[in-house]
Amino acid sequence: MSLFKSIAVRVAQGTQYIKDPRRADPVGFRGRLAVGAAECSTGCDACVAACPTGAITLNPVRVDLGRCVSCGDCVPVCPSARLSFTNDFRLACTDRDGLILSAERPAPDPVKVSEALHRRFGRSLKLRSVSAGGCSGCELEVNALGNVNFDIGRYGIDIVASPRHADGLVLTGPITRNMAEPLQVCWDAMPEPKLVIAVGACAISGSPFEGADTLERGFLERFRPTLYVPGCPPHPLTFICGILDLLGIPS
Amino acid sequence: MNAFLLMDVGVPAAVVIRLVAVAVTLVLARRVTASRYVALGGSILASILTVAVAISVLIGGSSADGLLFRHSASGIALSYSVTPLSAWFLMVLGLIAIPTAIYSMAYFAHSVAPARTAFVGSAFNVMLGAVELVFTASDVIMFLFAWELMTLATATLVATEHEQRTSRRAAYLYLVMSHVGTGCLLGGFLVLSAAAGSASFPSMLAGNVLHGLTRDGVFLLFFLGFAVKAGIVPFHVWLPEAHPAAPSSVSALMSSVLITAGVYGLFRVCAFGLGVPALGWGLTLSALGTVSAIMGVLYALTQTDLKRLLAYSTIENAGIMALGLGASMLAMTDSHPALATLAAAASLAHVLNHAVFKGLLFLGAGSVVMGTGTRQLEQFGGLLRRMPWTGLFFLVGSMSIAGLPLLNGFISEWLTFQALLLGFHTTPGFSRLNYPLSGALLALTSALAAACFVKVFGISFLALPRSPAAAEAHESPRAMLAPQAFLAASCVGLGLFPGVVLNGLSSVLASLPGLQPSSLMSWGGLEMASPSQFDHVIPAMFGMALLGGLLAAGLLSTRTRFAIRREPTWGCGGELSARTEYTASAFSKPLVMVFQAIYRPTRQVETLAQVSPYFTQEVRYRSEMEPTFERYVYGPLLRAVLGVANGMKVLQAGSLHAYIGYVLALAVGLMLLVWWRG
Amino acid sequence: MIPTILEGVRAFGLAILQAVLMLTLAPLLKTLIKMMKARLQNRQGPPLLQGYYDLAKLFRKEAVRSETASWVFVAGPRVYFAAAVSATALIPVLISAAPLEVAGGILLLVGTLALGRFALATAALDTGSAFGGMGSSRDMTIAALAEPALMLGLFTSALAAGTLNLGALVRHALAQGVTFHPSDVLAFAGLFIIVIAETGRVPVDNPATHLELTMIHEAMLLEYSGPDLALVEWASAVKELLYLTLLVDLFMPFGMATGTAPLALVVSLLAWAFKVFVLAIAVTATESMNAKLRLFRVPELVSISLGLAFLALTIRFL
Repeated sequence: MSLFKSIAVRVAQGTQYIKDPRRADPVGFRGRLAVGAAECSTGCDACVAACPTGAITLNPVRVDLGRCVSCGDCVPVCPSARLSFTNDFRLACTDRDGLILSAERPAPDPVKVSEALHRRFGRSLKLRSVSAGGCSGCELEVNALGNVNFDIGRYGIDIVASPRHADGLVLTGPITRNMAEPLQVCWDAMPEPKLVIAVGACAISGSPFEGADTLERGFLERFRPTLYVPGCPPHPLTFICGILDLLGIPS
Repeated sequence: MNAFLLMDVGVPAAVVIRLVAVAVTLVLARRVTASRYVALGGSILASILTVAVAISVLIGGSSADGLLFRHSASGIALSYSVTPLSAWFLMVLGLIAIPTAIYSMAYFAHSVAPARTAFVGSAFNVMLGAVELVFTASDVIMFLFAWELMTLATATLVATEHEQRTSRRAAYLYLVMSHVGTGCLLGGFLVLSAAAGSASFPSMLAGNVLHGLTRDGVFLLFFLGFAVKAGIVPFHVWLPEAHPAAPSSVSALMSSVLITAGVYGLFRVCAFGLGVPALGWGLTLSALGTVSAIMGVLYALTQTDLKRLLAYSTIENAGIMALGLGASMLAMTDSHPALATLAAAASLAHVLNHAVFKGLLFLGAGSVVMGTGTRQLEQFGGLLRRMPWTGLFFLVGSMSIAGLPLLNGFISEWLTFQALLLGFHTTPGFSRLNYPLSGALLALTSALAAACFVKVFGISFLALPRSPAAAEAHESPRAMLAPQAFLAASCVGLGLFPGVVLNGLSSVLASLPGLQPSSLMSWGGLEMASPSQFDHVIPAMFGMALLGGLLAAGLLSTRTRFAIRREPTWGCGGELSARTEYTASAFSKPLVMVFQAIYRPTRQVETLAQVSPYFTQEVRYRSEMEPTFERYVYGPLLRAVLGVANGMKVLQAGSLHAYIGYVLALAVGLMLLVWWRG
Repeated sequence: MIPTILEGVRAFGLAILQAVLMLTLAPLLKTLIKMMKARLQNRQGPPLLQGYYDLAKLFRKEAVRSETASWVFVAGPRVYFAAAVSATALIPVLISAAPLEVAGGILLLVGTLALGRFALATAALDTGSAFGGMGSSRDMTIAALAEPALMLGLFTSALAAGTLNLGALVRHALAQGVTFHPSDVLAFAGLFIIVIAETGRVPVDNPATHLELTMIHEAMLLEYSGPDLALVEWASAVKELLYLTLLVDLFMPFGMATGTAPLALVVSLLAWAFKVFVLAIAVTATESMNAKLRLFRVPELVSISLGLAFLALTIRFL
């Protein structure tokens, strides 16, 4: 009978979900950009010129994770080899400024548990995903959250079919003019209490479309995101660890 | 009034009141308001009298007989007889006629042309008087006279708006089919009275007059005649045309009461007047009843005209009444009087319950049509905000017709199920499987009816208005709301106190030959229990449990500290308007597709584009259900009749000599016949 | 045969206790099936108490209601909940009697569930969105098709026991001891299909889908939030537990307590929990091994169920 066959296949495959996301090891992941302590050559702005989204500023060298698209162009052009990518995926932050890394602050501040959110959503958080004009890269990673590897459902977190059922809005994409109104309607349709999670470089800063006149990002000024998940696209583990830390869920 | 006096003069007094009302109405024809009040007031008075007589007969258990008219010179006497069975139907009639008359006082003012009010008011009285006479007739002449008068009065009411072709056609179709039916009745009565040697019902319908094949033939004639009036498939084709064409309060009466005239005939003559029914009779009635029930509701699902939908639903319920009666006849054939009693009780209870909720629904439909100016479901929407009371009462009616517990539809459905399932035990052999199968089909019917009325109520009263007519609808005046409130309260009352219905039925069942009401079942005011502990139901007790559940739901949902926020409906961020709402046709589309074999829908889609075929400007969609009965039953029949008629045109040569020749030939032939027989 | 005041109070007390039991265990059943499905898919699945966490959170959220909606929209979830909860009083769970069995049997049970469905379907039309209309239309269609098969399946057991009263049916089965009739297999299969259809599980409906075009039951719920949504979700879970308990009552009532002795009740509770667990595994297996059917294939499935029930009836009585 096919049931027995399914069970046999299942036993043969073994478990595939990552048991503890906080201690996972994403091999080959281009994660946090580390700024080394070496001195810059005087007048050198090779990294700034190489960065397509203007994520790097000088004096001192600062990398804005919210703008970085992990293209890697800045690494080979630095004469002092100050920039390098690490494997670190714990990049989420509750504060926009916390995403700006430098030699003094090499990693975003760890996400602190919000007591209020832990009481409300510590055991059950439902998310509504809105794609506000992006390339769908972040949407694919958000979809991957529910798959066999990451299985975000085991923490009581699910993506739901209607904003009326949702507690949190997962925003991906730079918020184009055409999506600004539907995004606002979706937010209004969600019942209180609710929060916004900005996922991906486009959502956090609009880059690489920052400054274009087809964007309308007023929504983020009216409703400040509770969690920023940087990356282009962010690794599902970044998202998961960020959420788990915010809600105080043990893994 | 002394009960005896009432029983003695009640019926003649009612007839006299109606006659007087008709006369005064016609005299006052110019004064519209006065004639309206006189006609309807007189009708109310007469109905009160007949209901009083009916109730006293039901309580007392003995018939009220008397003389209506006597011409001493010729010896012609028209007598009436209110048997318990007649009393039941009279009570149902009065129960619906009184609220309908009150409703019509305001309704006719708005929806009937002033010049016609007097005529409509008189026709109203004539129709009701004729039905009362049908129920109380105790000889053939009276019965046929009243039957024909009822048909004619109804036809005139159907043709109220005779400048519209559909009304004229509906009235014509109704007249033709009714007369074919009446012809069959006439034939049956002739044979029966010839065999009995008398034209009075007690001797004709004693049950031992006819035997063998003659009896079967007479049954068939009577069945045809009464089935046309009751709207049993395949004789139902006049119903969806005629009922919507009449003014809504008259439609209410037609659906609740005129149908029951056919059912009365089936009970009085076919089931209990020709002796113990043969096997084929019960089978015919149950089979056609089941088919009517299913076809009725299936066609109702696809209608977008509110009143036509209700008319098809009437066909469905007439089928359920026929099913109950058929089961009763089958039980009598197999000599199971207890089961026969139960099934007959189920059928009679459904007569009452259907009259109440169908009357309510039609009155509500009348309010809606008056408020919006249209009958099309696709134009309604959001009426609950503009017509809150009509909506509430219509909801009660919809829930009753869906057979939901605590309302009266559930009661008669429960009784019918009991009859069908108990029949299983008493029938040996393979045919016993009919019973659970009929039960399953009855369940299908009631579930389809629920789907149909979710559609009707939801599309009409909820969400956004789909047309300016609906957006500016106005609520009905109180005179039209009060009768609906009364009928809605009756739905609830009859649902919670089923014993009342069964108490009323006990004398009726006792008066029918071959039934054993004492072994029927037990009941109190609040409960019903079927024989040998088969099933037991106390709706009121369950109602308390439901209230408890509502209380729990209320308590659980008040603990949030947020106030309720109103936002536009979620439509995926797009704009929602009345155009994006579900339509009535869309709602029933899945069922149309499932039952494609029965509906045989045809579809025509036309896209029009000017610049290029890729830029469509207009899409035209046309969908049609195949009119199965009209095409495959009546079409060939009509063609055959017309063919014969055409063939006989030869005889009408137009020559006077030919006609004189025919008369001469007939006279010679008759003389030869008399000489040969003598 | 109306019960006396004392009997009535006792009956209602038992009904309340039974309702509380069913309400308490229903979210557990729902999450158990989700967890087992997840395990079969190589995931971990939600913790067993997830159903309770979700309900607790929903009850404390704001209720956002549509501007176009009227009192019917608010009444819908409440009537649905009340119907599901009061229906639990009509079936025997731990003892071989239903608390309110004098109030009604199979017909009243089916009627009550129909009442809940009517309320929810009507309220879904109140939102004025195409989702609500579509969900309402499809749900009423499937229900209309499933009703004859459900009735026929229930009638088979009822006619064998000679009563439509569920308490008496169970008592009759217990009195006969552990018997097995071949028609039971067919009747069970037929009714199992109907239970899948009525509780909205694969292959009839996918409870976890986000695509509105594939929704049947979920589409009616898209507009509810906060306590309204919590009531509907809870009532759906109770309905599911009710249907599985009904299957247990009709086909395997052994182990049920015949009195109110504490030890017998504990045994009965464990037996009932075990049987429901086995049925939950059957539901999980059905969901995991089948794909969702196209909407217009569901009538074929339901007619298979009807055929099975009819066969069971024929075999049993001929």
